[in-house]
Amino acid sequence: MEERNATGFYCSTSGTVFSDKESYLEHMKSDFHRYNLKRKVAGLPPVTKEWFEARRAQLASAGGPASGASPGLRVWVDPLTRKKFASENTWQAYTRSKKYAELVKKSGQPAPGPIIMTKSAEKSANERHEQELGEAQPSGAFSSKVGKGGKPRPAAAIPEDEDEDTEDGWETASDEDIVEALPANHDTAEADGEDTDEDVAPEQWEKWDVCRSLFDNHISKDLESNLAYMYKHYGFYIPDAEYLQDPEGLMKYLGCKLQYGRVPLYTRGDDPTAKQFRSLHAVQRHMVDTNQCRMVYEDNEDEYDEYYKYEDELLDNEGKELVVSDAPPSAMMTGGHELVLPSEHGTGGKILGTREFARYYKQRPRLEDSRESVHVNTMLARYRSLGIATIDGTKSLEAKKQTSKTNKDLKWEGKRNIKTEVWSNFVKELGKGVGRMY
Amino acid sequence: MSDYGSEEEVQLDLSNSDVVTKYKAAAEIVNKAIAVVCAAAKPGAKVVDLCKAGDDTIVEECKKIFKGKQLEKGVAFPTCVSVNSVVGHFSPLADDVTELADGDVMKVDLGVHIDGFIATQAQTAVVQAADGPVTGKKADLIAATRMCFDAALRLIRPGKKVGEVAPVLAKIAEAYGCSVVEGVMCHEMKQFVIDGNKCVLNRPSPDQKVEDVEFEENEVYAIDIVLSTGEGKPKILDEKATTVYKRALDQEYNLKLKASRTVFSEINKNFPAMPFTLRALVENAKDKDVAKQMRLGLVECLNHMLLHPYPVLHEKGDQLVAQVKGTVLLMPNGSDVVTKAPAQEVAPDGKCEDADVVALLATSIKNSKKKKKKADKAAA
Repeated sequence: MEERNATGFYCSTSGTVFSDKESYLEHMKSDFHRYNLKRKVAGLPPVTKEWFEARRAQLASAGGPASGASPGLRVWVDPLTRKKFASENTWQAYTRSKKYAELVKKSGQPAPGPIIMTKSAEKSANERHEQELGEAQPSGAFSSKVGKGGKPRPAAAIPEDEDEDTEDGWETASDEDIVEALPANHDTAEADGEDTDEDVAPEQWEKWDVCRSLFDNHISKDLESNLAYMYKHYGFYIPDAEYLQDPEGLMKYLGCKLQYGRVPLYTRGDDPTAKQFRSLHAVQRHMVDTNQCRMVYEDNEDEYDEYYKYEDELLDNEGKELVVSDAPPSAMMTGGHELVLPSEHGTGGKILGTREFARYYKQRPRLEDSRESVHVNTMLARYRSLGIATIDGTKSLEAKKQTSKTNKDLKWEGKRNIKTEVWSNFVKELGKGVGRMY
Repeated sequence: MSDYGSEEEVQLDLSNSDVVTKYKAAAEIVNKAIAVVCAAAKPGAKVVDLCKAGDDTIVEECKKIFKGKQLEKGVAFPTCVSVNSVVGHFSPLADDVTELADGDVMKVDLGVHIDGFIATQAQTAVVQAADGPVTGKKADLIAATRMCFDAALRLIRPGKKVGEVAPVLAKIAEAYGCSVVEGVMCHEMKQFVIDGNKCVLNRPSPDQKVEDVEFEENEVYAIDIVLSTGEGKPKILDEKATTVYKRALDQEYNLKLKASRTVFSEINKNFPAMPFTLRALVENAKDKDVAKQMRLGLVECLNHMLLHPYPVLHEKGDQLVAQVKGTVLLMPNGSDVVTKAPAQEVAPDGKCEDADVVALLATSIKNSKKKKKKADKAAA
């Protein structure tokens, strides 16, 4: 960080040089340096001191009453669309845009003022808002909701470490929006069973615009161009598109899955351990950043079952269903290996084989002679040639049983033999004059 | 271990009455056939005709019995008519010209099977124009043969051993001035098996030995006695004369010539397990080419030992050979000689006076109850 320079001291984070040690050390302790450090960590280029001072002044003047926090941590929220803006300027720019004017006209109410709040408060408000069932008219109701939640918007917000200051006016969700655990917020949430992703009532699902891209909210001309756009920019495609019956429905479902479920599209719909994000923006940005702009489809057809129709396999080009007709087939394939010609039309039911099986067709298996006389004599001849005596079946079974020794007898015989042998060996070893008397 | 034979308890042996019936039926046919052949044996008759007559009788009779059932029945051993010094297996082809002459010692040998149960018989008769008893050396020979047969009958009984037979036969033959022909065996028969494992060497020799086993109940034996006035060592004079063959089923070989394949397939179709004669092969064959190809086809089969030949053996010079063969069932109540054809009358000159033999011949072949009780008393 520090570089000993002949001319002075250099701070690489802020890119300034200090002539003497005191100013350098003072710089190190200042907010400006701290702010630059944060920028560096965030990957943003450093700012000059003047810029920094100007900014601070601006924030202090604009957000004075609402925030006592460090500048740059306040957010402008448009009640209509709940869009967040990092600075007054961006908010102004948005207000002047055509789209906003349209929205205002649609809502039929006068343009609402922006709601400026600190990041943390905004976040909690966000959570609370999204936990509620309906996306009711945000204007006016918003503050009431905030009040309902009973959660005070902390004026002295916890100092955030992140700061977003992107070039465009849109706030991009940061990783901090990811909720590791949805703690106390859930307890205060309305008991709507919002823990699961799919519990948003179906009537809410129709609100997603099919022309809107799932990953960056880009509005296309129509559904096809939207799909094309998503494919081009994010590589998103719909699997089994031939069997897709209701593309609009599917798009709306996916959109709502993102908006209400806030789980990425590559997770299954019924997965309870799925990572749930803070907001639509969060999940969208996550998908884009991790390059996972895909729809999970393997082993998961049930989730999208309503939108697909697989009986289409039977449809031919015209969309009419193919039925097994009684008309004589021209030719039939048998398991992909043989062709069976029909028995009429002069072809006589012949079977044409494939070249691969030519070696089998050439085989001439020798038929086995199954006559008993043949069998008996063959076996006898074989045994005789081997010199094995054949079983004499005429001797009565009882006689055989009597004469044959059982396994047990043989075992004892063997054991006795061994014992005798061992003993005699022992006696031999002992030498003359030693041993049993008998 | 204990029940290894339990599936075979439905024994296809003499304990089953159906089996006995079949044997007896087969024996009936055999008797008839031999009678027919003997009746037709007049001087000037062709041997071929006699053989044919025998075979035809067999086939005809077989058709008449057991009609409803799906049984294999027919010739178990082709009719062979061997004269004078020919020991046996002479069943010529259709174009043979051998004729019977007056005074020929003719041996008729044939076998019938019903459902695989074989009955076989052989008789020796002298071809004579008139019907009168045979006299002279021939009579001795034939009488000796018959006596040997009877003796063997009483020796092949449950409890006796294989080795006991040969000495007695030798004694008898000597008494009559004949000798037992080497290589002839009495063998056990089973369903579909014409030469079973147990066999009795009539004349043991150094190079031929048989296991000394016991005879058991419910066994069927073909007692074959061949005696000759000469030394009793027959030889093969002409290999090409062999016409009787049997398929050797343990041999497998892919024949190369088409001729041999046709011949072989015919053999397999018609005569898979029993001996047959080439004349019958040609007759039964639907394909006319078989006759032409037969000789050629046979060569390859024989080279690769797919067929077991029954060669025509000759005794030395003009010695005479006589044969008596019969099928005996070792039943629980005694030996039952099922094959009994009307035999020619013989007036022998010689006699066997050996005491043992005489005593043996006096014994009955049946186990009567009285005798059993006596034996038990004697033992106790």
